[in-house]
Amino acid sequence: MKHAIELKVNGESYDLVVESHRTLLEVLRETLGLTGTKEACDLGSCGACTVLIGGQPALSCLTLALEVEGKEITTIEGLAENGRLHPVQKAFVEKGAVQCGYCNPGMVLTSKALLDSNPKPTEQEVRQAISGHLCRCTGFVKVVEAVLAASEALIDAN
Amino acid sequence: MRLPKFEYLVARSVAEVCDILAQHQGEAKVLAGGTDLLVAMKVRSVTPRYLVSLKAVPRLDAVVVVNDHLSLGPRLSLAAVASSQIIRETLPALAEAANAAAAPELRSAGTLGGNICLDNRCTYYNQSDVWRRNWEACFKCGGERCYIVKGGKQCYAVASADTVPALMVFDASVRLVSKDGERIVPLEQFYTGNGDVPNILHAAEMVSEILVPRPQPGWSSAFQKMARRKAIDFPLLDVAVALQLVDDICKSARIALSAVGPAPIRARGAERALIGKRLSSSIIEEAAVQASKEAGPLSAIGTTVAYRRQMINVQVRRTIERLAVAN
Repeated sequence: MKHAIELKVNGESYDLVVESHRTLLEVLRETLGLTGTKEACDLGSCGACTVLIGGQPALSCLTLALEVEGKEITTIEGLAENGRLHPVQKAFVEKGAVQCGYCNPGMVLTSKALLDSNPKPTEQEVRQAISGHLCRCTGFVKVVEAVLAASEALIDAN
Repeated sequence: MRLPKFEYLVARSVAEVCDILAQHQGEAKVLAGGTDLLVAMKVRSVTPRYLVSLKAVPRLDAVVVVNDHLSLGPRLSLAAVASSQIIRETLPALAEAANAAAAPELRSAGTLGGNICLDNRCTYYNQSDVWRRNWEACFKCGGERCYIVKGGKQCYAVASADTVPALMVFDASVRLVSKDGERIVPLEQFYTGNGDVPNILHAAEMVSEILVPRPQPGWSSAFQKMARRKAIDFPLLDVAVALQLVDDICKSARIALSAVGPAPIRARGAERALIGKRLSSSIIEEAAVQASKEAGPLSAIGTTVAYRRQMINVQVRRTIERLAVAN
């Protein structure tokens, strides 16, 4: 069954015809060509598919596209401005938190959301915030270092 | 994994949800957070022809304080339950339990109603479609055997919801509504003990409200989850305890366990061991030993049966101790 909906992604509006059973992850990747959001477990157990909906981290593999009409969706593609990396992205690169890259879009978006609401998190708070994200490469060490470094960079910038 | 095809319907009221559920005779399911339902659909455990979304039904995610009880909306996210000031102050074990479930993103989407209606879990059931097709079907897959209990005559898939034991120690009830009327069921009676059909919700019913009596003065509560990892995982064991202490004597006790069988249980023998007594370590140990005897056949999934039974003892003891020390 097809529905005509408007999806707002990274500040742009898309008029789409979408079948009921399409997940947001599928529509982002296959219809809109935004392949930054990754499909890994597809069951909500790894966090790779994470996007921000209304600024909050959400699992796009378990979200029907029809459920998020009218909501502000941010994917990893929406973070850099005019080619300039967001401070969280920059910190991930500098701290070696980018290895295979697969967990990164989800990790970066969740970390950004954390710092938006808690600018100076403790290490424990960072680990809690990313606890829904699996990373096979970094042992999470580099990711935590990157988020803490990004928090300092953002505080210095303000 | 693609979802199977279905028709997506949006209801604007509880009455409309009930109309749709009644109209479609067991082929329609309610869509709240979708964190359990959509996974089950992806592996073809359930294939409803209709999903009726709750996104436009108003007033389903409120926390309302009435005189003698709290009214909790079924569409409250687990994250909202964990962070609600009222719930943290009045029903601390429930806030702890909601915060222990899954992981942050799953808690934002997953709901209290969904957690209460969570399907039971088993290693032989929660597998891909392809995996299950290559094994002789167990009871939950429509077959005639159980792989957990040899020679078992029923399904022993495990009750795995984190918020349920916490709700049970507060004597919570659920309001079930359908086109034919409504019924209020104490949560303990909502579960069947059959892993295949874990609760008594009819196909045409939905959970419209969770009612929790306000604890009287002197009550305190705590919750403890044991799982393989500190996040994402379903429980290997959940313990919830609520105690009413008056002048250091335990006047009333509620102890509930989840993930110890096809239904969450009250450990009534353990409760009786505490009542009228001062909470010395020997009394607490007696209650903990009693609790470990009250769980039925335990699954060896993820651990040994002996370890699991021993952990009931340990976790019940630790949870009671937390309350004894705090008071």
